[in-house]
Amino acid sequence: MNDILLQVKDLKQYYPVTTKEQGKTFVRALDGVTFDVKRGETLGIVGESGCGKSTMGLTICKLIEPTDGQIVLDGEDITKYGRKQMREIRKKIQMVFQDPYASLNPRMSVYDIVAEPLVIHKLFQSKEDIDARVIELLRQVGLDAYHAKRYPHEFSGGQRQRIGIARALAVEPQVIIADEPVSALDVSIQSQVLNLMCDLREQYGLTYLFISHDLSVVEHISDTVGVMYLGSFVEMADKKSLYDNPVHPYTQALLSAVPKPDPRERKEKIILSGNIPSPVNVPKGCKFHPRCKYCTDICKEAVPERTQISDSHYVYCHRAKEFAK
Amino acid sequence: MEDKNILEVKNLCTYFFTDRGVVKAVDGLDFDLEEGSVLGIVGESGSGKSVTSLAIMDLLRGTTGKVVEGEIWFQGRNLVELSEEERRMIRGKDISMIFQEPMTSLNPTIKVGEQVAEVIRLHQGASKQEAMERTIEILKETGLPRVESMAKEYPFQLSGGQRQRVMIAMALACRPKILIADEPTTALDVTIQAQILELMKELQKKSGTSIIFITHSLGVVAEMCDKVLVMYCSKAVETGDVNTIFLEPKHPYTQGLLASIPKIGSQADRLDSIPGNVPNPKHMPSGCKFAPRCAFADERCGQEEPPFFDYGNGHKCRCWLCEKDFKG
Repeated sequence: MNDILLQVKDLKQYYPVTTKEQGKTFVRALDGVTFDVKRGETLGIVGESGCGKSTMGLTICKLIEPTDGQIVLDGEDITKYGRKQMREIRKKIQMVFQDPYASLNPRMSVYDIVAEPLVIHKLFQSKEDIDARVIELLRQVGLDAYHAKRYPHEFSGGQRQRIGIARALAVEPQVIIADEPVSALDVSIQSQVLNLMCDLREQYGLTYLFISHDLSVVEHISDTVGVMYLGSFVEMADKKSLYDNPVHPYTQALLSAVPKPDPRERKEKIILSGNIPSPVNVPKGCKFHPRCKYCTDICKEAVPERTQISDSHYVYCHRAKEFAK
Repeated sequence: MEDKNILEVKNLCTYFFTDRGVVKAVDGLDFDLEEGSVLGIVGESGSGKSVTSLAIMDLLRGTTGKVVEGEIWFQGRNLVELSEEERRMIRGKDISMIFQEPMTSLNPTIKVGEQVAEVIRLHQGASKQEAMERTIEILKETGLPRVESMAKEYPFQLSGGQRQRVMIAMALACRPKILIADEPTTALDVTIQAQILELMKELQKKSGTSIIFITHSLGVVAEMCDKVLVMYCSKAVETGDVNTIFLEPKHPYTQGLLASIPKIGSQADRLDSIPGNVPNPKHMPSGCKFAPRCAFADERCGQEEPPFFDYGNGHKCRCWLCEKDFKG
């Protein structure tokens, strides 16, 4: 069996815009991202708003057409697939969205929501089989059979997210792209949903692409973590190396900015100055250089190449070798 | 009123009278804010933490909510008994507030500089020009770039972090005694959150303002606060100084909250979680409100509301488990 389940090569997503200063130009939401995800692995993607992490999820699912690049799922190049061909592919790849209030149709009962993928993909012929499968799915995500008749507004945020997960699981996908699945939930509910996702991963050997702005949540659930800034990766590594030895100055600042829930650990933070530049007006050279305190002349001119620190750890920074010590 | 407390809240009850019945958003809340300190109020959605701040600010007028009982003591006066006019003189001058969503809490049709200047003109009787000069000064203090031109821009032209800095400038314009910050960094990215928290710490050190910091993020509390008040279902369940609450919490809810957040570097396979959901405010359990979700609950917990056991040094806990510590 192929060990690599999802392969993304130089994926780009540009949106045409017209600005006063530059005339016709592009918002570079995704500016050439490349990575592989192994079967059964969880890749966590972190980054701040506007870094392109959600666009990446949508593009890989082909809910928006990529501008350029290649997406290979389970050995099959799906980049150029049309609607019809994608319908088959969506049995393998499913999404869970951020806002459990907006991602469920308020006019459909929970039964209809969870049964819809089964009907669309004609997975079961008889009504009885569909009924049985819906109830099985609801139980798997910690809901009860009687919930099937109810409507989304009757549920709390955590329960709605469970319904969204049941819908994604219905077709027994191999990959689930989860875009900020716990961000809208309270802490005590967040941990319930995270535990559920871990259990399901174990049970079905699922592969997750877990997108979040919360570094502690990503550390908890992922095997490998990629950090994005302005549409590209700045660093990607196995969880332990990334959190123990972050190399890229942006990763270091991001990790240091996370408030630690322990009053004994109040310490000086790396405070980044300024804001993320607009993706229309991306800085030349290394995109992070205007906010980087280690910036040198080359950073302003040349786009940094990928530097390998170890087998599972690479960084896009001109001075990576120096920082890695 | 003790001298060191700048604000004392006693048995505050704030109810909402809706067509479908009474919702007790805050039900018998007591706390003190020490002068020059930072008090964190934590709790999940619906625990009543925001309503508490609205009650102190007198911003419940025009809603169905009302302070039905209790006292809010500030500078020798019980705010609850004051007239609307008197409250307005305090609001924005002595007690001011920063809100969560900096987009919706600034007026989109007024230039940001004018919005800050309005507070100064209103409370300090400054002329238009004086107010503008003060505004530019204050905006500079918050670390905003190119202040002169930015003051003439509208909120939509600013980023989230910049808008929050404008909110902070506005709140601090009259050098208030108390600043209430309701989830001031929740809508911001982590690196921007770090900038804003740093700014608030700096300004607090400089002006000695006392702060009530309302948030659901325990990380932010651990970083910013001296004292912590944990709320659950419209009541305080535990309060104490920040080290006590984080290192030796007594209440099962506080313990559960702390255990359910993923901690960087912990390498735990599973998170502890609190089972169930926050109860619907219209069907509050009798007895301890946390009992239906509590692993230690027994029969009494479901019937009798526990008192606020006082461990001294400001550490109090509302749980029957504490009773054994006070026997004999």
